[in-house]
Amino acid sequence: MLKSLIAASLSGALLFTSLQANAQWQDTLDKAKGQTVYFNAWGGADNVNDYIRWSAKRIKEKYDVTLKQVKLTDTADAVNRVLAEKAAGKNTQGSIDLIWLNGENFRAMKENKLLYGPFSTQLPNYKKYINEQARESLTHDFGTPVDAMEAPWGMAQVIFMYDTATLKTPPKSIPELLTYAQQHPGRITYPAPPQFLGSTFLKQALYELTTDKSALTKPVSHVDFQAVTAPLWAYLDKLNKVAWRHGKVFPTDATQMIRLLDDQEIDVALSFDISSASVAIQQGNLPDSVRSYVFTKGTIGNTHFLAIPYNSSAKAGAEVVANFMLSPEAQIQKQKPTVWGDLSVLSYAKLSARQQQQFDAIPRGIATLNISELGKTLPEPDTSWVKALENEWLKRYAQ
Amino acid sequence: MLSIKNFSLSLADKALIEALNVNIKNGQVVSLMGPSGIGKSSLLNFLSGTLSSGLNAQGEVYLDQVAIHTKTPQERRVGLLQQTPLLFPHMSILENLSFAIPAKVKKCDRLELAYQALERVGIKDKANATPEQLSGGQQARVALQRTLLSEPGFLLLDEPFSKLDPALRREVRVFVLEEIRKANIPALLVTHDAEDAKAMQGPCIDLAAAH
Amino acid sequence: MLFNRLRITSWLLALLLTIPVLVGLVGTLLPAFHYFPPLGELHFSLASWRALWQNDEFYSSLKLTLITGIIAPVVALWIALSLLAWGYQRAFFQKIEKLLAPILAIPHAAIAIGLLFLLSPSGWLMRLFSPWLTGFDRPPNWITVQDPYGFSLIFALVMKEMPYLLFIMLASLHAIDARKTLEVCQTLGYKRLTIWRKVLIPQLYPIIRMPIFIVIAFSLTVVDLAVVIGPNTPSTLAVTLFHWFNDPELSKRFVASAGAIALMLVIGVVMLGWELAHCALTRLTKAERSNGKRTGFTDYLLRMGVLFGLVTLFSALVSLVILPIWSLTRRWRFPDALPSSWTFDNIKRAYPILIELSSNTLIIAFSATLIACLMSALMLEIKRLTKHSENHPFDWLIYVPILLPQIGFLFGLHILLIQINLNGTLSAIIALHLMYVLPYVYLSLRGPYLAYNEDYLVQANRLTHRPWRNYFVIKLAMLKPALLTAFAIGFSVSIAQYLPTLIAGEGRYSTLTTEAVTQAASGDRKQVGSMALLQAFFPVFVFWLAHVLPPRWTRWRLALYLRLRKCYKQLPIHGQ
Repeated sequence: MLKSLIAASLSGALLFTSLQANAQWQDTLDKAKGQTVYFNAWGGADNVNDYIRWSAKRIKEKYDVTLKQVKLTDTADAVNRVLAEKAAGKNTQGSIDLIWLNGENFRAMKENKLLYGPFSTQLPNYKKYINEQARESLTHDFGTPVDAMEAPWGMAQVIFMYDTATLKTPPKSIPELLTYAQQHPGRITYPAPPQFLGSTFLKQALYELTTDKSALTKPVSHVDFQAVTAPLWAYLDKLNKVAWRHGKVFPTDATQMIRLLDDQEIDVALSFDISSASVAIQQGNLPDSVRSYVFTKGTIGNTHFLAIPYNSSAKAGAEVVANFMLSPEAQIQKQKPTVWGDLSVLSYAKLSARQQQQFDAIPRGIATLNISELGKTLPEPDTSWVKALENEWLKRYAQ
Repeated sequence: MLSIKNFSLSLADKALIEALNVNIKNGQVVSLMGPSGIGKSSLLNFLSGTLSSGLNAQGEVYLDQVAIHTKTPQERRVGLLQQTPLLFPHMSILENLSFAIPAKVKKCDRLELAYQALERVGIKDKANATPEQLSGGQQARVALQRTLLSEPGFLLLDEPFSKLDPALRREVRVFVLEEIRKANIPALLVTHDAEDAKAMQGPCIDLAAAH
Repeated sequence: MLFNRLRITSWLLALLLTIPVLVGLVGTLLPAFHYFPPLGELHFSLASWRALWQNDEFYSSLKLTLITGIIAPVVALWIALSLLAWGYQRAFFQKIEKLLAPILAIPHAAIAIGLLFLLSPSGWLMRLFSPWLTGFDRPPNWITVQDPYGFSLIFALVMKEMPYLLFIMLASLHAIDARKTLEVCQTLGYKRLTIWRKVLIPQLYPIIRMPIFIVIAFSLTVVDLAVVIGPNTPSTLAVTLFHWFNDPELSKRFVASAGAIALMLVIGVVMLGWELAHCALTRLTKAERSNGKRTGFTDYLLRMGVLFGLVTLFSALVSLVILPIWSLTRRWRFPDALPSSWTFDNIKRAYPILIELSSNTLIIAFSATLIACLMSALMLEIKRLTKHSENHPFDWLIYVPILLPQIGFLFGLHILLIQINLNGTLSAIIALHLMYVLPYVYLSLRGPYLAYNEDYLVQANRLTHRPWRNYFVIKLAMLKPALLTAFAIGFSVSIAQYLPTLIAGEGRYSTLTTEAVTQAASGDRKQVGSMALLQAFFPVFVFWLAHVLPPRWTRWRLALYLRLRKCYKQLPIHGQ
């Protein structure tokens, strides 16, 4: 009797809290109705822009929220704009409602109190489909605790591309890459740090070369940076000498690397977007003999997020958008290689059988790896490493 | 009738023209001669009310007994013809002519008037031509017609023939005198050329001699 | 009294234009001295300057900036003068003149991308000669572009600046009566190039001083061009600063602000140095000019300049031709001389947003340029009336926005816009564009406007005293060619604006250029090619109109009138 009473009151309390949550979410949906959400997102890729346009259409239909993409060339533009608004004392009615970001931009905005939240863990789809234990990067964005200040959107992992028509066995580790470069001078390169893919390459190389891997999870100030990174610089000294254009110039980003691969100036390109080879083939930017692969010891992976600025004028609308982006419908569409090919952040186990089927049915691009082929994901080192590695690289190779 | 009374002009302390008195009857052309720098152009500027500062000019001007030297340039009803015909190059001849007709005249009447002026010049086939398609003599005549169409109270002629070649000059002189007589207004001609003065068949004032 | 009022008006106008820039500058100066409340910095200090002096990247990129920023204008000026001296009044040269407008109208990032593709080891030049001549099956590992010394950057800068200088020179030639001088000196037995060197160029220089300064400032501060074709180990100072300002580490902007101030000082010093060099050169050549020699050794300098000039113009032309080819390409691999498969997809992809982009672009460009034309006319009229030939405030104040690096004041300007609640509006974009359009419009209108024979207007007012109407139907109508050319220049300047559009519009108003630059961020040549084509379409069209319309305008207008006006038909005047 007592037991059942306790059980009843407990379930009542649970019911009550979930009812309350429902009511809260309903409140958010009501507030969001008719709002316009200005979504500041990097606009350099057509397939991503198209996907956002598709989402905008669905969101308008389902929630009567207007989603407008403000295309950026650099996420820093949006950070600067929020900063300018703060400097001008515009603490409400800001011009940005939602930003696509991760890593350093997130840390900068969070530390300078430019973000609204916590909100992400309260989104219905987050509660329903996200398993925080599945990946560390869901709760620690480049080592910075997410603390519900941003909602996960997709996953990225470093992949490499090569042309099977000209190259039979691509280099599958950082040391092999150097050996290959020495045998084929001028055919290997990497994007110039501080471009994030370039910095990621440094982290990847450091991860494979350093003797003290545990140091990478600590802040740089707590370890002997020179000692930990010495093998990396010794490696790069050798690599740059035989690199593309003698290491005097480096590509600016993944797209340029793909272009160089297509022009046959280089033999291996890297990207943070696992579908980029398939997309490039489809757009006629790579020959269809190009394939993706990852290093045997794994590659660096991370999660990208959606965040709401502290002065957004449509916070409810932005939450509704972030929630929609976490829905199976949106994530399935996003993962289709013909659409975008960006990996889902949802927990497969938490999906219904039908949704699992839908995920399984997603066709793969001819040059896209599946989850098992992607292998081990190496975690991002602590955020403080990025700046330290970039500065050291600039000092050594860019002056 | 245009009367200039007691006109004197000085630059700094140097007197250029002293106590000039001229009366010009309607339809009459009075010629004014003299070397450059004597102040001929300044007299014209004084009459049209556009004398620049720095020159000291005194005197009175009456048009039909009404004092005009106290009036603004636009109220003086002055017509001026210069060395260059200054026809507007971006307008047809007809438009150049009708430009000058006072605004009160109705649209179709304006064209009628302009067309009549064109006939007087004798180039009615050139109504829609642009000024550059006209010869120098034709341009000078159109310029005169244009000035007359603006219904001036008197006419100032500032060496209007000096850019024409001798043969043309004779023709244009005759035309100008005829038209001024037809318009029946007083006119003052400033020139270097004694032939010009003679052809106007009116009194000639030599400023150098008066000096 | 009237003159005083006019002078005050001119001061007010100039201030109205420069106050935003000055406020923007304050927005950079304060952080340069470590004062920036939004990041919690409330005390002035010299920390950012110390950090700047200790930053090695600053020195190396400054060195690169000085090399490219000084050599490029020198070469551009040299080549432009050579071409002018060689080709003036030659039939062949008039064909070259027609090439200038499209080069001016094409956005510089696009032209740089074209050039990059032309010259890179896997580029068109190499493709044309491979493998049958070079023996290369794959592109060689050469450094032909983005070289560490910045030669390719200098070449790209010259390619963009030389046509501008040439254009301005051609427009200012009437002021020095070049044809008569040439005739007179030729009868004295002087050779053509020597006449230019000894007589005409010394007269021309003071007239084109301001355009040269604009070119110098452009070379020292350009970002988009340098990103594409400049080296990146290190980049030029402007690019480095741009990265610093955009660094996720927000505290980096203190050093960035100090760097921006330093860059402004550098611009000032370079211009001062330029003027001193010019004075010294004038003094050195003064004796040589009147030594009576009818030819001279230095004529060869001009002759060499002609050669370089033709090469530069040809490369520019080819870089332009590449863009439409890429926009229709599906596959084009090394070493194919032409694409192996073609498609309309690249252009089609722009369809859905084309109307919105075009209308935004046109509204902004038309409004800004029209206002700029009217303001220029007003300021020039004031200048004429007050007869203050030299030191009018707006004569130098209006150039402030284009002589200073954008990164130096746009952030502060953005804060100002937010504070007066004008951010994110179309009018804010137009106002910001006006700041950049006005100097160019004013500069190209000034010569012809002041040379206008005022007698026409005086005579018109004597005939019918309607000063306002006559000002428009006589004076401005007669200045049509100059006005249209100024309009075309202003229009293309407005179309090319990226950062001002983005900052004032907060990204809510996309234009062809913001879209093209975002596409350029992807570096996809096919996308860039098609966007650049769309972006260039309107300016080229307006330039073409400015070229074609004025000489035919009156004829066409009269022909049209004849058809429309009934009054004309009543009269028996169809004797033609």
